[in-house]
Amino acid sequence: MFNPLEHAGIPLDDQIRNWRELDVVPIDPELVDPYTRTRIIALNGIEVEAILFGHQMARFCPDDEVRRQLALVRYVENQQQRVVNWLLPGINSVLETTLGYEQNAVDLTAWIARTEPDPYLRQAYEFGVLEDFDHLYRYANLYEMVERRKAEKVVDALTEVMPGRPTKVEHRHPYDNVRASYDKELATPLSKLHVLTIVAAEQQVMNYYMNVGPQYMEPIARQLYQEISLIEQEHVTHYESLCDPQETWWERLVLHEYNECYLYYSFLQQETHPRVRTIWDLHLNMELAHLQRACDLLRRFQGKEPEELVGSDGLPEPIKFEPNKEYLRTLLATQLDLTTLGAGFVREAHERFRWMQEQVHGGEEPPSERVIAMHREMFGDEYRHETEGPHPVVDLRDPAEARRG
Amino acid sequence: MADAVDVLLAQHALVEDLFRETLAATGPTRQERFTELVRTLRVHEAAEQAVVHPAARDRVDDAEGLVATRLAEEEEASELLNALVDVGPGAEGFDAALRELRLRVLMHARHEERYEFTRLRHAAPTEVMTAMVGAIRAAERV
Repeated sequence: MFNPLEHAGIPLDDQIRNWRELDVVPIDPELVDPYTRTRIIALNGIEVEAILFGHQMARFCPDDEVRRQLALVRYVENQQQRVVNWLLPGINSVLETTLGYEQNAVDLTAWIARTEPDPYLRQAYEFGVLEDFDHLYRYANLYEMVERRKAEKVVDALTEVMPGRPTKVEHRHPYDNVRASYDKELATPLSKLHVLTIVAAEQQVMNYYMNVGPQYMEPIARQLYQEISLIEQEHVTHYESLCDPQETWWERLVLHEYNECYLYYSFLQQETHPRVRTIWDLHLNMELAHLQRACDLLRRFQGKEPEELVGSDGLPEPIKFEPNKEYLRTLLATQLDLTTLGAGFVREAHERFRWMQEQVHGGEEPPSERVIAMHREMFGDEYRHETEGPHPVVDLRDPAEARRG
Repeated sequence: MADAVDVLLAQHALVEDLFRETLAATGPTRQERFTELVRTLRVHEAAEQAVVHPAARDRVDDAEGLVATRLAEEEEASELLNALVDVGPGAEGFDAALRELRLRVLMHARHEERYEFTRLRHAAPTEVMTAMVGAIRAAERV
């Protein structure tokens, strides 16, 4: 497999872009594979995390020369983010981009869960994916209400739209969102990369919702963004707590850069859009140089070889965006009623869970329930897109359909 | 209860569908879908010009420039549309021109949704917005 450690990449001094190079032509959302959009969204999350991580690291770095090095790479990562995210077209509405974010969260997390070797980490992904799956359904109902359009046009039948673990019960006590971390000496490189990818994805969703939510005038839209953005913040806590806090800044930096190589390499293998493909290729070659710099810092300040962190076999199997309908249906049928207690997963509505539910809901239905009720009132039914038959959980079948038998 | 903006949004969604269907269709179906697209677009723009833009001009602060820009977009799209009707779906270059028209129409629709409809809904009382539905239907029949 391709080994990023063996490539020098494009020299850093050749990586600063001018206005013409930054001015990318956006994709046409209707004429591309929806997974091209989710790849853009996923890589935007990765680049944003690279920038934010770089800023945090610099704030704790006592060496001015290293701070200058970090600043240079971070500037380049900034330009990469602008190019990647600017591939998204202005013609899309905030809600359409939101549907793309949730589709990304669902199919990316599902792939990661399926390929994760560690059972505890896999459980954490399987737990989380059923929640993003539910958000897609809630936003799809909002979308039809405020834009009079149907979400299947955006997700293109690759991802089903139906209830997951109801958003209402996703509000857990913050203590119960802190998972046990992997052990950096024992975890496989793939496990470490998976966590970084999902943290980046959830963090970007949180940032997006907490900032675009107030742009809506419709009260239900403002409220739904408020509610779901709170859950996304829980997800950031849930996933970031899986990282070993004993990892040093240098180690974490190498892992970030290695992961960026992994994602660009993966999406380069799968991308069908020729112009977008060129960007993934270019960015991979830029990241290879960033990785070399990070490895130098690891050697210099920690006396460690990067192979000790990521092995010498090269990248794991490339990440793929593909439908996960059957997998998700199996999870729905078997794990819907899970919640968390401490670092573990349980099936009971324990005391701390109930306490939190009372505090947050204050005896009222949350926006995520009201949006469905309002949709029913407005259109006579709720919006779903169930391509593989009725919902696997009988209690969550569409009431209208249940009546029809 | 649906108001004027709901009706216009539903029409925008229909126009998006018709573009998609026309581009995907072949043979006689393509002509048929294109005819439907042309009819829908003309009726929709007529209603906007007769009812919605004047209402925005009256009720939204400083709407003159906003509405003038929307009208200019409609005028441009209308010229492109007429040229396409003249040559018909069998003509060389029809596909590329239809894609171009689609992009302009969809961008125009988003501009209306973002900058005109939201402000109109905010500025006009609910009963006015609801009553406007009748005026839109009447304008469509002309």
